Amino acid sequence: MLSVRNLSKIYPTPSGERALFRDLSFDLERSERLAIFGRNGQGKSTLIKILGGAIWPSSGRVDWSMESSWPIGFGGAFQGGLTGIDNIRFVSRIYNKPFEEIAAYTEGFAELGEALLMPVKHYSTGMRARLAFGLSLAIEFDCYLIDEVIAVGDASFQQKCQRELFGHRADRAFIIASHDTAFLRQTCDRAIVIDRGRAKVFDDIDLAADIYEAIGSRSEYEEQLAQKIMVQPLPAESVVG
Amino acid sequence: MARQRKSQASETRDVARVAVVITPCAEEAALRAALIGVAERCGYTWRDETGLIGDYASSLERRVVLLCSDASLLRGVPLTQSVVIAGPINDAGRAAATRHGWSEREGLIHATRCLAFASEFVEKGVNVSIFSSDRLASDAAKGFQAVVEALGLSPDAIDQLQLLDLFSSRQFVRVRGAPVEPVLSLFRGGLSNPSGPAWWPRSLFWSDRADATCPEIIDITGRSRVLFFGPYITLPAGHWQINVRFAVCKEAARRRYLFEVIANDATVAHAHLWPSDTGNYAIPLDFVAKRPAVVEIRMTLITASLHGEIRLAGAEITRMAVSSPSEERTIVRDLGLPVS
Repeated sequence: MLSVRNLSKIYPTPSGERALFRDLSFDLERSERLAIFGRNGQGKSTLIKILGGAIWPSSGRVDWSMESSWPIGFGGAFQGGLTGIDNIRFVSRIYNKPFEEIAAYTEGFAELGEALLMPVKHYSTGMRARLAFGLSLAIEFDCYLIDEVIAVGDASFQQKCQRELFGHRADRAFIIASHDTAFLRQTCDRAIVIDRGRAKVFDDIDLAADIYEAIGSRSEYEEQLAQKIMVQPLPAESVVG
Repeated sequence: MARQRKSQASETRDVARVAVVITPCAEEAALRAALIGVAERCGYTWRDETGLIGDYASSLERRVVLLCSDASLLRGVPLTQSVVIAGPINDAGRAAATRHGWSEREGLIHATRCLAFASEFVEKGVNVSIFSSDRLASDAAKGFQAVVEALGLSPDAIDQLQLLDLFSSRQFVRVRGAPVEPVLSLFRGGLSNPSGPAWWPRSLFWSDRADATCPEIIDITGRSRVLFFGPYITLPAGHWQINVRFAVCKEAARRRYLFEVIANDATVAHAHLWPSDTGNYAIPLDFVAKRPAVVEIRMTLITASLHGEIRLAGAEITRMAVSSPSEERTIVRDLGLPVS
């Protein structure tokens, strides 16, 4: 189980503090799936990295009683100077898993072929994501943290990912950050929506997706409309009731 | 010919058909019993719903007291005087709903229709007096005497002991509800003198949670939806202005809202709003009702919101003008009972 209590992340900026989110609390059991919605720059990846232990929160607690993956995202979390195979060896040692077994599975899943013998810094983002996916599936975590990499590769590779993740590992927990609301509606049960320094947990994935889609879209027409119908508040002394 | 005219005039003077409309309230049974006692002692017959008031139209009773809780039963009955005794409006609505198996909203529409009775009957030249049951109960002797005088009956026929017994009986449990003043105050000035604004407080409105009273703080988190609605009070015909007063927090100020007034199931006024900042706002909504109208005010959140709060203070109702300028006569008399 994952238990998060009063989690906050605040950055100091020249114009004052900027909070990505404050006092976020939620629990996640094995086999539950949590989506994270938010526009670019609102703090989705930061939340995933905090949960994965890659960065510290400003305050609050993250308590794991199950094994979680590293944040699987386009960033990779690999050593760029090492080859793909060496990265596999490195990660296997960290998790105390047999290298040969992990390497065999990863090679078969990621379909990178001879690219595994090249330094990772020469990989494309898609290749990094395929390596990350394959390696995390080989390690067999209780909870997978996925940061917007769910749609990498061609259609057949995507199908393989989803089959391996949500089919063969349906009993694991998932925390997935993505802009693909249709996919998350289908896959997840609950969601967190992050926007303008606030984060809220919703037990209804459709409600969360609807809210995210609405706050995420503000067309030029609406901007013009805002200019016409915006009104000023009344003076304080005119308050009644 | 002169003798015939004189005979007709004296016949008319002898005719006294008075109606008492009592909306469901804690004092209803006591009032009915006391009025029946007075009617009989004054030599009047009396009828209520069980005695089929509607059949009265075909009868020849000349001195009669008609008792009911639904003013529509009095249509077509040639009245000379009328009194309306109104209880707390939400209690009246609930009681009507329970009695007839309606929803609470339908009950409230029914209850407020009894108060709009005044304007429906004005063209018939009927004098209508309106009382609050709360005030009657607070001073039963004085209040009841005022009712009897308004009906043209003799106060000497009041049995004071019976009255005290009825009103002090423990079976008449007082039920708290929204005060009736927000509705009654609309009628006090009369058609010729549109009175100052009436105030409909937040407690008269419903929230988006099924049939729940509008809370002090409305959390706007969620999809686009109606945030509050109500109060389903019947207003007489006329030109009305409603000012909805509310406050928004900084987050709620980023969202867009739609205000609507629905009268007799038709939208008669609407306004869009995009607040620029946190603070207090008043949205004016003008409309003309050509006949008595059941009024609903609605506030809708147009775009979904992740967070934000709104506080509804209430709505200020002002009668700007009568709908038909020829009807310049007073239909309501405030009988001067002390205002608490």
